Amino acid sequence: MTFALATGAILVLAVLLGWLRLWRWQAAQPRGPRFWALLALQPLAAGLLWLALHPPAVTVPGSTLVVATRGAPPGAYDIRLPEAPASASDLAPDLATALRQRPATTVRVVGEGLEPRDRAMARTVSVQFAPPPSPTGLIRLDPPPPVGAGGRLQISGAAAGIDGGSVELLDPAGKRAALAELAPDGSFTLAGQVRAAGAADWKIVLRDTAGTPSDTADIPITALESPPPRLWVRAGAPGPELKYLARWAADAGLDFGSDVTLGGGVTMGDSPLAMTAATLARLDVLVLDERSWAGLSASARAAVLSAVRSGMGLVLRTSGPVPAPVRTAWSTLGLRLATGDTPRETRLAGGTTVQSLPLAPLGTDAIPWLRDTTGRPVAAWRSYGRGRIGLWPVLDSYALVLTGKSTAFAGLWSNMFSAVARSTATTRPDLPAWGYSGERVSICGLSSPAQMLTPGGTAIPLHPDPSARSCAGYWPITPGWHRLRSGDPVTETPLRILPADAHPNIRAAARREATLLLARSRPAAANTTADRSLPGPAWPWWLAFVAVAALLWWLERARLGRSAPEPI
Amino acid sequence: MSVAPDFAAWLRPIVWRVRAQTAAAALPLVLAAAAIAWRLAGPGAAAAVAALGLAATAFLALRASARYDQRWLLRRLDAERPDVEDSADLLLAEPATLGLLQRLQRDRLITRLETGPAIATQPDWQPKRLVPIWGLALVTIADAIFWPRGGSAEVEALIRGEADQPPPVLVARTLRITPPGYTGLPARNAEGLSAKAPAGSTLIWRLRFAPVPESATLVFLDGRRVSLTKQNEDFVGTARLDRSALYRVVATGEARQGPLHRLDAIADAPPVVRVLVPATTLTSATPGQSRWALSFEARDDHGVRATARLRLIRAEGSGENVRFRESAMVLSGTGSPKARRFSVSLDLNALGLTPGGELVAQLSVADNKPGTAQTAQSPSLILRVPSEKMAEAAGLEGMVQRVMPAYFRSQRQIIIDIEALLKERRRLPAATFTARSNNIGADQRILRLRYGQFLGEESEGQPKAPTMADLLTSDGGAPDKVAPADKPAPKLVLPEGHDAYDGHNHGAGDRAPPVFGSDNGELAGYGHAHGDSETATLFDPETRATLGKALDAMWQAERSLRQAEPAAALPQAYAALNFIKDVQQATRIFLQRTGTNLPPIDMARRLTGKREGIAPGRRSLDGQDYPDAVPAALFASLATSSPSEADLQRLERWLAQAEVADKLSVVAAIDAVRSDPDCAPCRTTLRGAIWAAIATPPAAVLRRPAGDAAGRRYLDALATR
Repeated sequence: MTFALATGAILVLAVLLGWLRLWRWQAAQPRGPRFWALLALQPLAAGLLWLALHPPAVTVPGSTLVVATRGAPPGAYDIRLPEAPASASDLAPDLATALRQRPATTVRVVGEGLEPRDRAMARTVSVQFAPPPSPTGLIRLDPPPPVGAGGRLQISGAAAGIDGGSVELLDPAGKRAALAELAPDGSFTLAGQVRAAGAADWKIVLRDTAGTPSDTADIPITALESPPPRLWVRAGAPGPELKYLARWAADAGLDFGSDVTLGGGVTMGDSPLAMTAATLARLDVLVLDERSWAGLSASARAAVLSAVRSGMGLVLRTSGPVPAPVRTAWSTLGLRLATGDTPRETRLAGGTTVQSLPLAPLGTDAIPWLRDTTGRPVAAWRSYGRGRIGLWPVLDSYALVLTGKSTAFAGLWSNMFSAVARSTATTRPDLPAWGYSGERVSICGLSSPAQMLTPGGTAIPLHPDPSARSCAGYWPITPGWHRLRSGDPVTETPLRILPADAHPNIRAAARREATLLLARSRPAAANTTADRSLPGPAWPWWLAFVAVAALLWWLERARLGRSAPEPI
Repeated sequence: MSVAPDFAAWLRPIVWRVRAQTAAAALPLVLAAAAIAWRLAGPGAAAAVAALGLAATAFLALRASARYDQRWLLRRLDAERPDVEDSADLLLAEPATLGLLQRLQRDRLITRLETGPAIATQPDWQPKRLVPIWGLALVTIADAIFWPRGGSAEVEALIRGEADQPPPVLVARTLRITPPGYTGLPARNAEGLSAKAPAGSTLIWRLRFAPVPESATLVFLDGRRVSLTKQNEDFVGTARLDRSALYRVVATGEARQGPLHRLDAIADAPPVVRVLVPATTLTSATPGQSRWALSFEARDDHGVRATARLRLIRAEGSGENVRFRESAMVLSGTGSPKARRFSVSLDLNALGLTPGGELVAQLSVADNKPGTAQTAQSPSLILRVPSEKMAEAAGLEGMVQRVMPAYFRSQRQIIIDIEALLKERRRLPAATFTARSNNIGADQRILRLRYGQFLGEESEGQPKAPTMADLLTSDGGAPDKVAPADKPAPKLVLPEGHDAYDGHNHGAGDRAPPVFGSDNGELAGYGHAHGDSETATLFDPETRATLGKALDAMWQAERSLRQAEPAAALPQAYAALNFIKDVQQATRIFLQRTGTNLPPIDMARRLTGKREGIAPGRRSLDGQDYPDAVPAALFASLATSSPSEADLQRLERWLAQAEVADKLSVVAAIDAVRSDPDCAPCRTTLRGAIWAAIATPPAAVLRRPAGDAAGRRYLDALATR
């Protein structure tokens, strides 16, 4: 039932009740013309009230509003948005206000494009946009995925309008952490090592072929911390992989346990883990290889899979040829190896090489974990219930340690465990990687009470909306590191607000893209002049309703024409 | 006859009231004067002023009360009491002198005065006069006590009525650097107050301030102070630059701390000796050779001494019967002090070198640093005179294996070869060039394999059997770092059946290479632990890491050489050389005790197949502590908040024992933050300095956050699909 229908029904009911009351009240009186007038005016008043609440739509002739946005050349416009350079046309605080003041069916955007503020409103009208030439310099920066201390920070982006050239990544000390040539399409990927948890300002410098810097962009990175996972490795045989894994796990502070079956009921390592629901519920990641998988009883396998379904991470590791039954069992879990047991030399980013068993083409629900330099997936994981199962067909990652690349070794395993390990018990608020001063920032996954501390120390309460993923809007003014305080226990998450003029080219490119997308999704050419219906004005109906209600009151109360009351 | 009343008793309170009034008015003035005297001239003067003031007050009080005598009293009686009837004078008169009526009147008066009330006359307290006097005095006393006490100069300035002096500002500065004389560098003026100069330089500051302060000092952050002396308008100070330091200029009356300046002392580098002739360290004398030409080049950053010492060791005899004779000669060099050449042509006959003998020559040069000259030695050059026996076997070459120790080309020689090859590049045909590059690559490979063995690396191919002493190539330079010949060389302890350098080939020399997946492949892969760097414990872990880097660099050099790109190989070869030098300068060789410590074999159980009681041993693997936890934590907290003093002190304690390349910049950043904890750019600088100083911790695992209820329902629904 719509709101209009509901109000209509209530009004009809009210009219009926009014009639009933009139009938009984006037029962003793002779029914003159006043009675009939009262009776007739009830439905009239109700009808007018309904119309005042839901004014009938009016059709407005199709028209085009010419809107000046940032970077619009001087000229005559209908409306000028605040970012546009000053000119004679009317200033509107935003597009929504402009459309309320001057209803139109089509908006012609002149300049660089619409700000994020105006894009939602622009979706209700047709948009015409002649894009300016694409900005030159850094035009895209992808916010990097979350990274922890010691982890590898990977930043990709794109530059335009520059031939050749290179980009370099400067760490918080201002020293060069990485250097990359621009790909022919202008894209680049840079990687650096995060040395400490916490917020840090990195920077990207774009240099032309002569080496002179042509654009820079600040990249705020917050390295996060999480409780270390509890990890158990069951290996079918002792091997170097296990040894170096244990070494890294001990150094990185992981809660690590392992047992190795030597055959004949003899095990080494820690006292063997009983594969039951209770023991597995205490683990965050379980690593099995093809031999230990084959050695699991049917009930143990069921326990493992049920533990994964309730959140545990499972890593299936290969240490050699995988027997056919194990292959089949693994492929029923959605992770398939290609046929053949010949390991393939795999080149990874950073100039390292490992041997690995090739994967069969991935299913749609599998996510590549690691890709080689050609982009082919080397390892993959998929969701399984609340947990995740990963396949790690790399045979000799320990060789990285032996060749002095223990950082790469730790990076590989840390990435893998980060992807599959059981989630923490707490939620993390979902913040953008950075915000701009004066632009709305939407923060989701908040638990009240939440507040934002500005760099000056002022606390601003946030009001998360429980019906919309507990999101809240925040309008920052001062640039700097703001701190979000939320959760129970209270955690602080830094959020970097960049100055309003930061990332000029990146934001110009984003504006251009978004406005073009709006123009393409709502092409304006066909219906520029078509009529359009808008909610009509409500005030004449209110006026009429008040007049009728006043008449009703007068008719009920006035003594005119009424016989004098009997003295008591 | 009645007696006249006691007028004195009537007057006494009045007199005292008057005296008290006078004292009350004068006392504040006395106190104020005493306070000013105390402020200006000290307590002695104050006591004197108070005494004088009190005397004057007493005098004034007496004088003021003298007016109130009997006559005044009688006048007051006449005025105030009507019943005295203007006859008060009678009271004072002698009764005998009075007439009858007068006597009667007198008696009446006396009677009335005895019964009637005494006069009411008392001089009033006058608050209108006393309150302002006391107020003024109290203000004056408070001023005298609380007026800010400045230096005498300030007071003088106050008295002279001058305006407040502005704080002194540095308006002109000169920092003259006079490097030590032996460097031969000219004296110069530094740009600004920060400078880089050779250690031992004399620094002369000449600073001018406006206005001229009382004194000025250079305060070093390590606690030293250099006070500047005033010469005319300027302040002049001198210090010797022994080590790098941070300092600031402090002048009296400065409004706030000035900026830090940095002095970097460049340490004198030891000289470097290079052998020009002969090209190899081991030379065989040609038959009939009577002279041996040697030529060295010594370089130093400031200068090499003109003379050098050539040490000659002559070895005679063969087999067990070898005798050594050592002699020395002094060579004088030619060329500029920075690159001197020392050449000599040794007369072999004069030295008495006989066939079968050897002559070892080593040049030792010193730089010109006075006092503690730094010395460097050339590699030992060996001239071997073939013995008659070997000469006899000359016709049997190919049949007789010459027993010679394997002298490998050192990394330094490889570099020299590469450089020589690059110089000749234009003149050489391409094929020759490629071949020579390849040959150097082969040398590089042999060297790499040899060093690789100390890391427990797999041996490829069959390198020539080296001896332990060969580790000590001439790359180290300094002989004190090289094990002398009389000390036993470290020996590898190897299990039975293993030879020192047989790699994995023992017992299965002709076996086919293991194929992955074959039944014995893994066994071969894991059976022996040679490939495991953690069991190659000849060196301590850092040295091993450095050696590993050297091997990497050697490998890169070899690859480029094999590809006929010696220019690309050169930087790698240099890098390898540097690493090898680091290894050779490592202070100690780390020999882990790896003796077997097995439990005794239970003979009753042996070969029975019983497995009862076999329990896994305890795994004891302790994680290494991350050494930079303190600065890493501070790095995180500095982003959003100011540090506490305790934080900074912890950071300083960490810095004191940490190995940081650029400690001074961290110290400077800490100082800036300490002087202004709310300065955001200073905090950013400190964070940058910390970031540059700390090591990357082992990569941690970042677990994903818990999703919300909707996400969990979605995943559960997927699972039951």
